[in-house]
Amino acid sequence: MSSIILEARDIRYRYPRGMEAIRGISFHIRKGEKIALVGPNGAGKSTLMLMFNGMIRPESGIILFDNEPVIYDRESLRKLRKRVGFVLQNPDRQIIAPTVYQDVAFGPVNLGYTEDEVKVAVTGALRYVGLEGFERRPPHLLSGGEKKRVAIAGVLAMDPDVLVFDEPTSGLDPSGSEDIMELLDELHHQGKTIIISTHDIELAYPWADRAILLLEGKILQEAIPDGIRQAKIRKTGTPVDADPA
Amino acid sequence: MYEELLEDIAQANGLREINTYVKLVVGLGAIILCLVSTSYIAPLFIAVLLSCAIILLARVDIRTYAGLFIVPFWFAAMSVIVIILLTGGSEVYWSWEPLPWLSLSITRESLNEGIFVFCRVIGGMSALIFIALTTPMTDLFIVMRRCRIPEAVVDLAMMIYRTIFMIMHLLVQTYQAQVMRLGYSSFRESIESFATLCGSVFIASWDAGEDLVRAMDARCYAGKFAVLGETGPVNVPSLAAAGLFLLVSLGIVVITKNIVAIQGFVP
Repeated sequence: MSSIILEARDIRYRYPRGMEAIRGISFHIRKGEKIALVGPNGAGKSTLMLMFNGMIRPESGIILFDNEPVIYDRESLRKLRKRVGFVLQNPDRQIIAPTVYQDVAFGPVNLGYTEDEVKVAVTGALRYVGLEGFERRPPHLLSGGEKKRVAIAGVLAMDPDVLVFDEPTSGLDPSGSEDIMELLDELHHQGKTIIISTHDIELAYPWADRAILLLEGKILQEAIPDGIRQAKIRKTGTPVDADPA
Repeated sequence: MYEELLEDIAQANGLREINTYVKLVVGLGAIILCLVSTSYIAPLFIAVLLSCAIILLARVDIRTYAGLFIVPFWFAAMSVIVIILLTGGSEVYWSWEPLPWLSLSITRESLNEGIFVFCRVIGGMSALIFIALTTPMTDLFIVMRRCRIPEAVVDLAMMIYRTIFMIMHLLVQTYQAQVMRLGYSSFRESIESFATLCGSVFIASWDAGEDLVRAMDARCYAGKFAVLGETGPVNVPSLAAAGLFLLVSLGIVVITKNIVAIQGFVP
């Protein structure tokens, strides 16, 4: 078994003047795993994920990355965010720059790459998501699926170890969703740890190594439920008569 | 609210791949030549040639172009009528004195002056529109940085550019949602809906701004904005065409410097 890369120990979080969004969660994620955080709207998926790259600091409990507790000062957070890439649900909220090239280059430039290194990183990331030739296009003229790819490329260009996707297929048509899931698989084969959040069980179960079911800020169930195994068997063609639900 | 945006036309125009500097030199050079020319012929030549370039080379829809041109055209036409009526001269064709302190007249000199100013305006306009329709803002950012405009200004301009489209998107969405629920069916309703529209777009753009900061933080923002992509290379045909255009225009400016539209009798 590979080593643990991300771990949470009894974390809690309450939004200002709001209800408690995360109520004591502990889990760990190993290097190279494919994890799906599954739960209905308002279960705390997004909040939890924002803790993985230090965007939200838990009120109590600690998060460990690579067996080191996350430190919330500027420099440490930068290092953390270089290694944990985050793709937001709404790509419009993630795309910053006026052209695709500039947007994908944003991370590498801020990491202090030289101009040539930036170019290599950007070209590679764009090729990876299949957006070659889009360099000079402004994001507002792209389709939803293309914007999503730009957002992913922007994160890939920084070459993180862990990739966190909040609802990677939301707003995409079935074929677009499939493309994105294939992309995630490819990234996984490269050795990246991938965490997605979704409420789409049909999509998450066949794909994930492990699903974490969240409900009302708590973990309802972890590890591999029978449903996943059966779904996997069904995918490979072996008939299964038990109901996966 | 849903009109085609100049920027979108520029992003898709036929001269997009031509080097930005070449296009800027053509546009700015044409404006300067219009200003130094002392006859109406050179500006007219520039206007006709650049209009042809916009329609035939940049492949901008002729109706879009005409629509763009019509506003300054009327403005110029009205100003020119005033110039013609108020400028005096020796060879009077028509005159009228409606009030003791006001006399209107059309003279050979005033007509010449009017034609000259009018051609200058449309020459300059066509050059400006040429730049606007062939050079998208995203390419101008590169030029801005090369011209040593402070980084902070360029970064800010780029963020504003991106934000404009985001807010416009929000605006259109909210407006459509209001129209779908009959928000603008009566005058009273329109005023209320418009107020709500302003309020909600303000809040939404505030939110978008906070998201932008978060997005930048999540991607390791350290005070640097992205480097710029490169502009298309200078290719020989475009450079030659630009040079030829400017040279011929300059030639016309020099040759026609004493020509006026309506020749007077030489005494």
